[in-house]
Amino acid sequence: MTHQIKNSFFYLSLALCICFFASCKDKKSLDRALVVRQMADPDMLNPLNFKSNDAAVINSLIFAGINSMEMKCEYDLVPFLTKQLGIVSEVTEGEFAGGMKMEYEIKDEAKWDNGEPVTSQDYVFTIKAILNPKTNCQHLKSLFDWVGDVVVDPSNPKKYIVYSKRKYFKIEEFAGYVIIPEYNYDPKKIMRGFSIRDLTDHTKREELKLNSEINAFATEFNSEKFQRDPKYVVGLGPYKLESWTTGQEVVLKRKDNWWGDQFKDERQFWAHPKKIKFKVINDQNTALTSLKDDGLDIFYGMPAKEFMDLEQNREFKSKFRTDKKDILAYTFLYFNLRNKKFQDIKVRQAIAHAVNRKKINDAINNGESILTESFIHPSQKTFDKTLKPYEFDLKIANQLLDEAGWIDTDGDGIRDKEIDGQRVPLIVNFKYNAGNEQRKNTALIIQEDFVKIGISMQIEAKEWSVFIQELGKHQFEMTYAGFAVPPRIGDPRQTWHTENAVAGGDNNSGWGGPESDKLIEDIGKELDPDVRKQMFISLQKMIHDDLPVVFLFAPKNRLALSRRYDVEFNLVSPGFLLNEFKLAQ
Amino acid sequence: MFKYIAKRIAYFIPTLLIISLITFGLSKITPGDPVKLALGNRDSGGDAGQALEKMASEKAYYEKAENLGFNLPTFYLALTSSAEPDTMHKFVKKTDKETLGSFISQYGNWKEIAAYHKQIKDIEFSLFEVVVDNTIFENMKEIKQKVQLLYMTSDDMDISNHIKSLLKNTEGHPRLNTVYLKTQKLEAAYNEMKEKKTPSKNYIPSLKWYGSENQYHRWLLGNAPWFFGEAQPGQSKGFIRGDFGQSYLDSRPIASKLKDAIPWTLLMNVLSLVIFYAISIPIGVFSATNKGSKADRISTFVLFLMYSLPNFWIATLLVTFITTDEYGLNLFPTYGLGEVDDDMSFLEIMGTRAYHLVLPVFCLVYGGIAYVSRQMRTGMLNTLGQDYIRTARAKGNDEKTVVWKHAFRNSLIPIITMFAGIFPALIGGSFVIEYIFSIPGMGKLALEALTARDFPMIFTVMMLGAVLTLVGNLVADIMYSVVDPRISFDK
Repeated sequence: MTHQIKNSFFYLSLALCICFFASCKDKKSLDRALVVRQMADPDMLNPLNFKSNDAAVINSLIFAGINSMEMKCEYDLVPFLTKQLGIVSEVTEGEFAGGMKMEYEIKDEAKWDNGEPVTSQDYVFTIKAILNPKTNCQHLKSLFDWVGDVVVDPSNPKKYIVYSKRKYFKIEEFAGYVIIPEYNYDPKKIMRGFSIRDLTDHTKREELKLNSEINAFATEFNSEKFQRDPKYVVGLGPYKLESWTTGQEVVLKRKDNWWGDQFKDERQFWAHPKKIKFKVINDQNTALTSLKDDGLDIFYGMPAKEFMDLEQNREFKSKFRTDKKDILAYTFLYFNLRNKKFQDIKVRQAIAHAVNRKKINDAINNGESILTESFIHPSQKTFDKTLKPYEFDLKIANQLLDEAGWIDTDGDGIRDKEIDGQRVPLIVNFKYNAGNEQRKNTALIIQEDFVKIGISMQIEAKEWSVFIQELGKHQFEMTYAGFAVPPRIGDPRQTWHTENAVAGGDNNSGWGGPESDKLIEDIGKELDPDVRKQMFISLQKMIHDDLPVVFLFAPKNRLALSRRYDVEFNLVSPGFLLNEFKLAQ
Repeated sequence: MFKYIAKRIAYFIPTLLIISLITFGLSKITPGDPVKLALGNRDSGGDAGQALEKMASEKAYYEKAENLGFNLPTFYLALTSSAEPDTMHKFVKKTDKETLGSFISQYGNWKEIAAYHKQIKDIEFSLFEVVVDNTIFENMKEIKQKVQLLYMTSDDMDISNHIKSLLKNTEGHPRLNTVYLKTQKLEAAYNEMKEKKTPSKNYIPSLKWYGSENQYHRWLLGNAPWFFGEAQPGQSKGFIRGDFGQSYLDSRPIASKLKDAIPWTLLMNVLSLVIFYAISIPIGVFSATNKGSKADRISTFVLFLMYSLPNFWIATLLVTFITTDEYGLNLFPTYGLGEVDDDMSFLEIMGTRAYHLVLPVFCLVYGGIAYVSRQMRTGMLNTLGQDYIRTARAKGNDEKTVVWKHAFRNSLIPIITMFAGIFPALIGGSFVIEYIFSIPGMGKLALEALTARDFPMIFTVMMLGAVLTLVGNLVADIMYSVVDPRISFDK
């Protein structure tokens, strides 16, 4: 009997040994590819239909647009595909009067992977693919609703003019979003049978939905092969998809004869790593362990505690350099201004004075985040530096609440007030998405200070989709949120205009008035960046004074970079461009 | 025997139907909006507010809902009250459905309810034509909000308040005159709804027949032609014809996602099972034959100790301590399944995979050994006490023959019972282990689908689980008769 057991153990350990030795070379086989962690697989590598952030990072290496972004200060647009930036002018007469036009000329050197030159026809095709009513890119369709027409120069197939039906400062950016090759995505040239005007005409669109050609193109375009098949994922960027093993890794390979190499002095054409591997590692602890094991070359968004541990670790520091960088994002608390309790500005001011941001920052971010006062990142030029923070001061808070008429009449420690004939105690409900420890801890710290000024705060955790649903229906009093700031100034309309204060809109606090709405609309139409800057400053003041939200922090991005590489970090999440990683000297 | 199997398989059909009905029914009452998910309005729960920028317009919403078949009735028939109209399914928005449903149970007069609902829509549309200036700005803000709220509430107090506020905000403003008139109509419609109420209708049951154009039918049997003709784009062949639909998350076909995930889970679980039984059966037999010995007591203690250690904890410890040089023991890879090149030999590929699977398989195996070996021990002890074992010993057989030839087969019954549960587990995967070791298997796929409400994937995983459970039970029953000829299914 014991013999039997011994036997089975023997065979097991033998099997273990065999596989151990058979794969000893495994760790070395990472050779010199740049290895990056992803939390999850990208949803797809179709440059128009993708939805996830993981896909955005990879797509930006495979595909390219008309413009690129300068990776410093204001993240200005720089030309990529075209000889120079589009020449933007207002249209004053004709069909698109009141709109704008942009003129482009594509570089002669620009070539697709099959050696064919990039032409205006490819751009026209890209726009048509977006506008096709059946392609799966609903979000882009609404971003491109300004398109009037694209007119190709009859004498020069590399020149074209884009007409917009309206004036809007973000259009130049949208227009240069991406370009994809017609020969690959529409080999039968189906979309040539439809004009952009047909596709933008709302009545014709309805008919086109039933058109068999439109459907045939869309079915093909939405299909799996354009999502993940290396042969069919083709773009203008320096990398091509080499392989994608679901749930394990996506491998990108540098193109051998990339057209952009002729411009390698310009930063937007840098593409140093020969190979980039995106490894899917879900678990944070596993990812950190793998990092220590030299299995990853870069790690970003590290939690404060782990970062501190690693900074003390001498062995780790010999292999990696660590850094803390600002990241374009901000977090804030906001009120539901539809609730009578928060309609008095004094109550909101009192609450702002009772939120101990320094203490929260120390507890959660190790004191590293910058306190911010605006929806624009402090590093950006449009940020209003004159905004004065609401200092943590319970005395002022108490006084403000007294002035607002909230007094503890029944002696239970909670202030109360008569609203619509009823005595209402000052109990504030705070909702957050369950599982987000950072938000929960923030709430706990605030709760402690609120008690001292006679406000009772109930903290309520909600499962994510329920949380979103309730916010959408405005069933909340106070909550916590975080927004990423786009590198190039975004349009404040979505979060601050009252048209979005309705159910399902993004102006959840319900803030805004005629003055602010007008200002936001004007910002959209203003094409002069300097004038726009002044307008942004006025808007920031308005929001700061009226306090629909209490701004908290602009967080830090904690990074670890293998000493094998050199790269310049930037402020746009994830904090670096993978194509700029250079082997260290 | 054959007849028995055929009969059992025939029983599968109603069981599976019931399971499919329950899964389908649950999906309809879970919070969350699948249409929004399919449109990409999804957020990981982190600080990614800009994802909301992608919020598609109302129109895109309806198009997608239609595309997914949400404008169809849910099932072939509906047993409702006679107060409910048979076109309720045409309201695809969940909020609309909820509010209208609540009105029906309060008032029971669909005609008036519909008229009221239409009136709200009417006001909403007339708002687009109002030219806003400073004099009516605040009013407009209030009006827009109240109109949205009217869509969502069925409470009498709230509605009266909202309507009052609408009237107050529109009265006397020339620009808002149309809205004022329409609000008056709305008030009239609301009062009519309350006056002409027929709540008694709610107590009269009514059976509605929708035919095969319903969501359940489309999902199970599809709407593509069965025998002749090709499926049109957008048509589905249905679950039983192997068309599991598309994931809402990445619009990949479910079948293709399963094809990527199943092999890994299967490989991992088959390996674990083999090791599992190879270790625990001999241990069970050993401790039964040496009952009460020191070795028996030690093994029992160790096994129960292992049994009580949660595997996510052990997995995390293993990853932290024996996969890096940090603690001096870099024995195994940290995560994943290793990299395989085209120019590697079969043995090398096998080696790489096996090397990467050592830790995950260990974590899957160690806890169960105690359980199975205990079962084996009990089964064996029972058998060893039987008369025929004494007879076998009396015949002069040596102990080895007695244990392995006479007792072993008979003591396998409890093990086989457990075996029935193994089939679904084979593809069920272990979420925890797959997550920690980043193994792209079924567990991860299923959990991702569950948290994101990716119903096509959830249905498929549930149904596969159900089929395999049934098959597992059948196989176990057949194996009973194989190991113990006294059990027979033929009369």
